[in-house]
Amino acid sequence: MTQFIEPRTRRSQAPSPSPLVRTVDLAKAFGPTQALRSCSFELLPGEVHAVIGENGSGKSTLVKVLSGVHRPDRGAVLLPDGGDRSPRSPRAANEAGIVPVFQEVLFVGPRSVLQNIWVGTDPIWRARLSRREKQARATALLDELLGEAPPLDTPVEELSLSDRQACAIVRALVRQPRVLILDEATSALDVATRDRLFAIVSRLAREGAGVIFISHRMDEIEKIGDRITVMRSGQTVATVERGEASMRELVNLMTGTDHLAAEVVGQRDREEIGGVALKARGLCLRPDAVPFDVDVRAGELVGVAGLEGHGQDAFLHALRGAGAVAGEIRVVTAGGERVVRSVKAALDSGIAYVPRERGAEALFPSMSIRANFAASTLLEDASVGLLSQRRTERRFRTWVDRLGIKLGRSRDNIDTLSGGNQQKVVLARALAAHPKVLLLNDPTRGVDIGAKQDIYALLSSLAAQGLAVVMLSTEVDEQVELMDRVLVFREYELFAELPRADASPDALVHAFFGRVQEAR
Amino acid sequence: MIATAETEVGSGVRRVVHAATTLQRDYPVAQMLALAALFAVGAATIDGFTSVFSIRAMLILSSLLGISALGQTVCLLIGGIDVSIAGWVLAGATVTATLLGGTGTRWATWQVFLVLAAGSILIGGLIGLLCYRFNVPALVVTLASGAMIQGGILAWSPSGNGIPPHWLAEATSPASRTFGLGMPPVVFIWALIALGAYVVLQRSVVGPWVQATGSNPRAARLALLPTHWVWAGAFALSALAATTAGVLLSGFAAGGDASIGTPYLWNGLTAVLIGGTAFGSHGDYTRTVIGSLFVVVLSQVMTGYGLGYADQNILFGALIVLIVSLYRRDRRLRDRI
Repeated sequence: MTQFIEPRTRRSQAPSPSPLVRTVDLAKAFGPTQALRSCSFELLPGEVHAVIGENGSGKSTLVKVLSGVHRPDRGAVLLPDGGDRSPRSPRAANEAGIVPVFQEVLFVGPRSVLQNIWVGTDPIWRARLSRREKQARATALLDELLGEAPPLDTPVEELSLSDRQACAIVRALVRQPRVLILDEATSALDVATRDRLFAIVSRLAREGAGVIFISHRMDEIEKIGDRITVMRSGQTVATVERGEASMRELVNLMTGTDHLAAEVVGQRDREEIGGVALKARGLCLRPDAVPFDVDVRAGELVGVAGLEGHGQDAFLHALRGAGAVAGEIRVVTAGGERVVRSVKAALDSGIAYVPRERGAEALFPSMSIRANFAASTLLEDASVGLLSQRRTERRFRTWVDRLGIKLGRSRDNIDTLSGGNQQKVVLARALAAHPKVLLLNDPTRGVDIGAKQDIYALLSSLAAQGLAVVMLSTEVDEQVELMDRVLVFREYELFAELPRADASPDALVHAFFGRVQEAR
Repeated sequence: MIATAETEVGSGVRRVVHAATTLQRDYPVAQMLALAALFAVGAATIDGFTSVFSIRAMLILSSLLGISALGQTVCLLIGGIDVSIAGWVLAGATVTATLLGGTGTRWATWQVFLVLAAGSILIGGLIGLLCYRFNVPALVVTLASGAMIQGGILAWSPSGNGIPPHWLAEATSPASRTFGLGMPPVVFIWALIALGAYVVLQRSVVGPWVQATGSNPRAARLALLPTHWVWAGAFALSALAATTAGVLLSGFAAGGDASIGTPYLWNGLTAVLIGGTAFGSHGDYTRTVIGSLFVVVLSQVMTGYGLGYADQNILFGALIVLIVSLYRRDRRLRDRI
């Protein structure tokens, strides 16, 4: 059993500055689920304080308490200027200088970039700032974050996922936060934007603000966190200075196990890769792009990588029958080959797809966990159109066990689950359709290391049973550790195809930036 | 200096609140209690409120309202709305009264019903497909189509004259019985419809399809649910149900006039909302049944207290605002993003 470590305080020798925010023994329950048990945490001025923990460890609940979305059942949120209780609303938190950016990319799609950035800042009858001033501030921050600001009148729904998240971050920055909370906010960003965000975070810290930084990417934590607080089962179990604990020790604190992803997937017998399951012929993802061919074999894990917006998404959509500029997708069956001409035909041919944006594209928020699982495969549980809840429950239970989904009751609402467990439900939904080819669009985005291990282990086991997996991932380590082969896209073309032996992080990053000699 | 304060709330109270909230989410408990309380007020303060005739009359009115609101329930569940209901009620009542009640008509009853059913399903389904395929707000399309249906019916039969057949009047008369049982046939028809709706929406594959389509249309499309058929089916059902209510209403009201359908649009919407069905979210027809009973009982109580049509409308409007603000208290946009 893991021994909990008492939170250590920083700079015990020198007098500490007053914290910007401090929580004392916070507790919060949602029905039978105790999301926070005892959370004590402080953020100092000029500090980037990383908070890590598995999905369901209470990080997001802590953020929501700090940002006024939830009220705690017990405990205190202490603010330096007379604030003596947790913010009563998001607006109150904003007024106290606490501004969050959440993992789910939240935006009003049809509204412009400028409107999204300044939404909710003005009272009804007058504007606090002139339109010109708003444009100037938004442009300056977007330039700083994106390198070049998109046109401010562009509807946000037309931007890439990364740029949409950048707008959400700028929305927080224009409010000039004293406490900026980045709750998995980097998971949707491309590498370059993420690095620029880190520069902005450093600038804010130099100016005296505090940043609470939540991420499941340990490299990000190591890079930016001054201190790291580890949460587990709703409790803060340790606070350490940067460099004070190794990655393995941090994983151990979070999960109680020190197995890293590479060890989970390392033992798969790669000799078992079978015959071709899916063929793409003359695939063209953009009118001016060079067509290419790709084969995916049964039992193979194929990674799809590249800089954000270079055609990886379009490639996956083409494979699932949603159309490409030119080319053909064929599924190899026992009787020959079947051409996939539509999304429906793809599903009928055994191609399942897990979308990228969990909230916007996969979850049904007003429905139960079980109903979310069964949505695509209801007919399996029906006789003469009538559903058998028992049959659905039985099917679901097998996936709960196999994926290690942590839940209360299957009839509880899907939003009672943590992000990682929601993602497992979405994955279970796709797998319940018994696919031969599984297309995954960044399935581990915002998923903690423990849940990732579960997903890696499952994919390895499914591949060993003959499932062909094509997985878009924005994490280089994941590509290197998990995949049998990595397809790197650049300018909507297949730029490089790296077998496992050649897929080092360096080779991949070189390929991202079009360096042919190193990549090929 | 840091000030301190602790937020302590008894966990027992929270557990009770959570249990009550969960119960209310799964079952329309508050609505049933409100209906019982309202009925008790009427019974205690209005003479003859609980007489057999009065109860039968309330059940007949609830049946007509409930049947007309069947499709509206499904339309709201998928995130749409149907404001053409008044037109369909008028069409059902006028066509029935004119073709079956006129002198020298050459139409058989089954022919009239077949034409009404086929016409309403076809046009309603097309409206649903149009809204879905071209992403046009259902409010706009059904407002336009409702106006066209009303206009077309009035042009075809300006006076809306004709006396419906006797058997139809019998089916909706408070004095009539069904197979010796002390309720008019329309109440049993409604009960059968409610049972069918329960089976389809809560026990068949259609229910989750409907709910998923309303809950997250994009996710429903990506999960390859038949979202276009769900939209077509919802609006076809709405048209068919409102037309059926119109047919029955022609018997109850002994004919049809130009404004016969209007109360069924707004009172039906009130019944659905009071029942607890939310736009693009959770709900079911059982809730609408309770909502229909509530609206009719409230209307009778208000009539008993001497409130006129105008006063009743004001109260219904206020009630909708109150109910919607209680059920659907989403956080403000600035707080949500």
